[in-house]
Amino acid sequence: MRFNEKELLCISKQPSEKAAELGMRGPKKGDVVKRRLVKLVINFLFYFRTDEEEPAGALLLEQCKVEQEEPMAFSVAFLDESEKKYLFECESSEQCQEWVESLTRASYEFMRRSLMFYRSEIHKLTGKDPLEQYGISEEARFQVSSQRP
Amino acid sequence: MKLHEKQFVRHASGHSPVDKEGFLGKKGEARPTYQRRWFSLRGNLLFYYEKRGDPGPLGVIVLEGCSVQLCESSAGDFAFAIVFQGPGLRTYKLTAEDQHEQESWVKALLSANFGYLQMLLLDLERIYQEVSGSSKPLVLGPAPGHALLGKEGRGYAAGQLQAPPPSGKSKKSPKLWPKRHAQVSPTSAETPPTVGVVAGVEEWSVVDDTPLEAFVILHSRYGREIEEVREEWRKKKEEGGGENNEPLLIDLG
Repeated sequence: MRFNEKELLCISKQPSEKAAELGMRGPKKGDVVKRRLVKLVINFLFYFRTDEEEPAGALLLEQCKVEQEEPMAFSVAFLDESEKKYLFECESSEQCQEWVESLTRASYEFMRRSLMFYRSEIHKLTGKDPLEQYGISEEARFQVSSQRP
Repeated sequence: MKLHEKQFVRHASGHSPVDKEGFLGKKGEARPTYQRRWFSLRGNLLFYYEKRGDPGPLGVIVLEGCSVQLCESSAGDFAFAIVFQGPGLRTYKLTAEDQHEQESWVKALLSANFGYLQMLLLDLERIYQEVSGSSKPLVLGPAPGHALLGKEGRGYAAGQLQAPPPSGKSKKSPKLWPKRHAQVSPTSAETPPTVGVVAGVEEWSVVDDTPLEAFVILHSRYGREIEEVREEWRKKKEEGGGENNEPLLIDLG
């Protein structure tokens, strides 16, 4: 599958509030923990080998489950492969919780659902659709019927 | 850089309806010819397939840090482009089947980036707070100096979004704020040369702190761009003999 790699590399260089050196272990049997600079930008989780400018890889944070594991680690698993988990080891439980929270909110889907929530609540309270003033009420992505898992 | 293809394929082939899909002509990177591909937009990812119904996409274009422009079309091919500005970065040239589709795609792609949704979310959060009667002031919106919306106007700097104080909120509203610095702006400072009919690329000054104004400005800007584009088309049609008198398909009010 082709992708715009150079453009994604640019995205990976953007400043991010959520970037830290963590222990990272891949999902396959035999994968070991390695130190990686892990950086969240939009809905991508980039991971860099220490002192390398370009990321070794990126995880697309859509349709994934982020969970705290043990006191100081969290895992990222994807919807149809829930046993295959990427594990991240943190320095503290607090750091771990912050990452879980940030990654949970990182997906486009999460934002969409939040928007739908507010749209619906505002409509209930005021009888008006807040998206109407922008002329985007009919957009497919804002329809209730397109609730995604 | 390794991309875990399965994640993309899974995301692309979800059961839920996509944001937009349809056939577009896509110009090859090196070759001058256009290939007809099936395109499918989900969030900020534009997938394309060799054929409609193929299980896996041929490729994906991540729609962050890019601008979307209408192109001068020869032989009425309703062309537009996804432009990534910067050294070595690519421009994707696409053609739609008709004017309606062309405008529809440009509109969809312009608002596909995260920043747009974040702004919208900020706005709805603010409205919700107002109508639900919460009196506690919110810590919302981009921090001063972080509200720059990319020099070329397409990339977004949503800035440092902070979570509202939890105690002030009613039980109903979950803490839904993205807590990261999602700043994505085009990497190059240079504006590309205009290619025929192009949606205006304006320079943004620092946007006012209030989220509503930020979003309203953004939104009216998109609307204005599309208006400009429509005007161009209208003029062109008039110059071209004005045979086609169909009403405008998109009513921006």
